[in-house]
Amino acid sequence: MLTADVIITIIINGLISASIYILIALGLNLLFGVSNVINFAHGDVVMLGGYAAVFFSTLLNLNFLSPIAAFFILGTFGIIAERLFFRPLRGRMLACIMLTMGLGTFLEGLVLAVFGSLHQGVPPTFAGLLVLGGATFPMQRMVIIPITAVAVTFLFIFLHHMKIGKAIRAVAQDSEASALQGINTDRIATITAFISFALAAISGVLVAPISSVYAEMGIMPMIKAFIIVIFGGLGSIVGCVFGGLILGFVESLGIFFAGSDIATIILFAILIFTLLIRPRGLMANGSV
Amino acid sequence: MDQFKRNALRYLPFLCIFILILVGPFFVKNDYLLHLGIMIGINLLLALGMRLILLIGQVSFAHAGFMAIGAYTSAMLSLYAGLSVWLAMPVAGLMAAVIAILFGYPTLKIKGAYFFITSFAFTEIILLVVTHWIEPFGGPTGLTSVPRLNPIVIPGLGSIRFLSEISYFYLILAIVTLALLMMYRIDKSRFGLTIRAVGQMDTIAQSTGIDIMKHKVMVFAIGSFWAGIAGSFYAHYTCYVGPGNFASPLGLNILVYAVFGGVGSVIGPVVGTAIFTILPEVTRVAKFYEPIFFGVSLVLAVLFLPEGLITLPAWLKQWIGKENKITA
Repeated sequence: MLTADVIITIIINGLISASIYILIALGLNLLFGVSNVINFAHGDVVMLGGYAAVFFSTLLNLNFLSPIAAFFILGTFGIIAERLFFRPLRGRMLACIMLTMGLGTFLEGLVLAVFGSLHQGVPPTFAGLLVLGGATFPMQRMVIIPITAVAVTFLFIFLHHMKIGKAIRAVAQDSEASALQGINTDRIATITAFISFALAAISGVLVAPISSVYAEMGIMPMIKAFIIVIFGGLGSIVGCVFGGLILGFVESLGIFFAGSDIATIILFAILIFTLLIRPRGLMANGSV
Repeated sequence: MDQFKRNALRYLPFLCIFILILVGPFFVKNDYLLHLGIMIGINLLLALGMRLILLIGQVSFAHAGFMAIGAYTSAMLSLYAGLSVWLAMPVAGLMAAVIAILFGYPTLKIKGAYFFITSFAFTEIILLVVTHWIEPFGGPTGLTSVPRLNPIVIPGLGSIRFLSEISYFYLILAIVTLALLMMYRIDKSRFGLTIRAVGQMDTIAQSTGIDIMKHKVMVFAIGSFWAGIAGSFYAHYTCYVGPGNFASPLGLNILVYAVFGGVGSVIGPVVGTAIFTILPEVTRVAKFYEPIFFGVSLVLAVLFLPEGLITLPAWLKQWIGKENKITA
């Protein structure tokens, strides 16, 4: 049963879902680290990214514009959300949870009102198939892996070797101390919200052609992203990538051997047990 | 005597409202309004339990899961074992409480966002289990033809049969009254003060000799008990249990009911539940615009009424006062 092509399929599928979840989880993670906001509207930002793809590829026929446009438009939306919502509620967890859930409900309602409840399809940007050792994969799915790798590398370099990135990490570690060092923490929070929402938008654009686009499309990926963030510890990029890979492979193996329901049950059970042993995640160290 | 008079004046409005609710169904013979009243009652049971859990400083998403546990327990007991619903309902509540203790004892030490996500995972697991195993749980379609409440036979007077909305309305009214009295007693008791202390600063509470884990688990169990009762009632009222009833919008709604009246008093959840149960019904005519309306009102309430809806009068007074100052 476990022939070479099956093993390759499991590994590649694991990598693909890991990549999508990592992109979503990185944004959640950054936003939590800096602004202390658990953004339950994050999945709906992914969904908006999907609708950006629908809008630009199907309606305007500008395939290559959709990631760029989604990146900037939804990034700007992130800035607005930070200013209007996250900043006044800083440090109030319950209020943040309720507000972001309300925001998510609002966005889903908005999309339902504008586009209707029908699932929308997006034509693939990258056509063709890739054959790897007997297993075939659509190109559209495969490109997600290198794109995520590039995004994660960029983010890592940005956070570790550039001044603003270092400032973001400083604020995530201790916002008062970094304010005392002359870092404008409000501006850092705004920049973080931009990056966080933009990453979610990109993942939405990437997912759009391989799954259909609909109002609740972001919910399940967001829940998976939460699991990753918990595995990796809120506020750690390496942990996030690590958690994403674990989740991707557990899911891919679980789906193959036991079906998707059982796979998800196993994931949630692992999540609860992880938190029982390490109540702040596997790799929590308080830094991004 | 003076004390008594003051107390009487304080409780008079509540008594009036209670009597109004009690006799209301005799004048308003409208099944839809009665159904709305029943739904407010069910949601209120959930909200009251949730409020207690919020008081110990834990934000939980597991309440929907405990409601599901209650609903399935009592539906399965009455469907498969033929148990009288009058027995199945308390058993469902106890089942939810027992599972709450088993789940809460290890996990309630987890704090804040991490506990919230743990409780989220708990509810998801419950729903996935119920969806996946069709054999006892009915799978995605759920359990249909759940029996209604067994009739009560009063010798010499006939029997009360639970077929119409009105009988369910009075039953939920009785259950809610019981829950409200219990919550009110807890609020006024030493136990109530202790759980507030635990919620506000558990390390300090612990240093004064309070067993914080015991209190957290107890509160979690009491709250979940009422969620189980609510679930059981819902199952036997609608004669149906399915995983879709307890999916994630419910978890959010329960939080909304509990928080938006204000968690400071028992009245808060009553106000919050009534408003946020009626609001979607009113805006239902607008179809797709309903979630928009819900989302906007939620966001506005969080931003402008951080202490809950019962502070609205004070807030308005202050706001009008400010306006007057500017014009003067």
